[in-house]
Amino acid sequence: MDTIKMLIVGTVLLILTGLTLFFFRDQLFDFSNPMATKEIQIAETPLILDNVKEMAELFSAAYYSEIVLDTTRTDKGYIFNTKNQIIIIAGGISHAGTDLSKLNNGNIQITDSSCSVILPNAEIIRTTANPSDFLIFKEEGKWDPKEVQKLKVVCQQKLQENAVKSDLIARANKRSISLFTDLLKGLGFKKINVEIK
Amino acid sequence: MKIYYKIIALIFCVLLYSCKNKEVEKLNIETNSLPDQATLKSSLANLSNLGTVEYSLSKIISASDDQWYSVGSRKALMSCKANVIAGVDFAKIQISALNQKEKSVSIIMPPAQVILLDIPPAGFKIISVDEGMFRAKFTAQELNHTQQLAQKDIEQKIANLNILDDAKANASRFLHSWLKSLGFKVINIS
Repeated sequence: MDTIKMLIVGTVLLILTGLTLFFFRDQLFDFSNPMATKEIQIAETPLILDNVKEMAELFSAAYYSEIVLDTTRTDKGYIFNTKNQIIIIAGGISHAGTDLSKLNNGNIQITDSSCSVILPNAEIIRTTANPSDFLIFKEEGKWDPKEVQKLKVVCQQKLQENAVKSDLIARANKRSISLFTDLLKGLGFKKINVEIK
Repeated sequence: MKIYYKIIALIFCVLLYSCKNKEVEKLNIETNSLPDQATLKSSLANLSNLGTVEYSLSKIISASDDQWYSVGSRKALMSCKANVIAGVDFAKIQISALNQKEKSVSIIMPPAQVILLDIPPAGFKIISVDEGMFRAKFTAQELNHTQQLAQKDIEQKIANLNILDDAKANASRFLHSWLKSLGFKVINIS
């Protein structure tokens, strides 16, 4: 009789252990391939603060664009020539705005409840094309890392050229005027005139 | 029979030598601007951020993908420069109290925020790329991925900088000075 009880308890324990192992297998075991290719990792390094600059730039408009840079290079051999091609897709944002640090007392005229402000002309402050904005779409042949980096710089220049060709500066001027007019209205001025130099 | 082997070996050597680069032709770069195509994104947007501080940062990037079973190592060492601009939303500046007779004004300033992170491609310097004899060369895609990892790391570490405090202080100083030039004598910024 004791043997039968022992057998039943043993079987139940065995089933419970089996079920536990089955349902919690992912938490208990790592079935990932130990020979799998490891992704590139970067070492932990500090972020160094080189410089702090005080500024007063009113970012009033932005232009986003995407370009494709298709580059080919032929390496001449003694018998065969090899063709290298790289296609980079790059996106970037150009920010335009007004440099308010150029504002001085001469640009502001106040008489009773009227205010006149002359803002400096808007300019493209910078075009950002961060690593996450680049996609290497095609890469054939040999490409030196420094060469690829130079092509990314070309991409950034092209993105800025697109922004210059667009309506960005006019849009930025219009927006700066609107922002200043709203603020001056809130400050109680009845007659407001905001102009671009 | 031996002479055939010699001829084959000679042809093989000539072919191998021919693969050596004699000269490199100039790069032929074609750019196709996609915004002209209707389906792709290209847009103008209005902003209203007052940038008041810029931090210039730098970082060393050391990348590798060595495993216990790898024969030879593969490492890349780069440095990068980044700029972070922070400020306040100009459109959200609120005037809470105004007295024109006493020339006093109270302003509520919105919280400071990071406006942009700029990691220019020109700021990346490839210091060293070390690829073992039995390892493949780093592809442009892999190195771009490495730079993206560095960008993520910078984005995370920005929070530990005091940039928002500086942005707030500078915005307050700028507004104070500007309101003074508008004729206000008592200025409260909170």
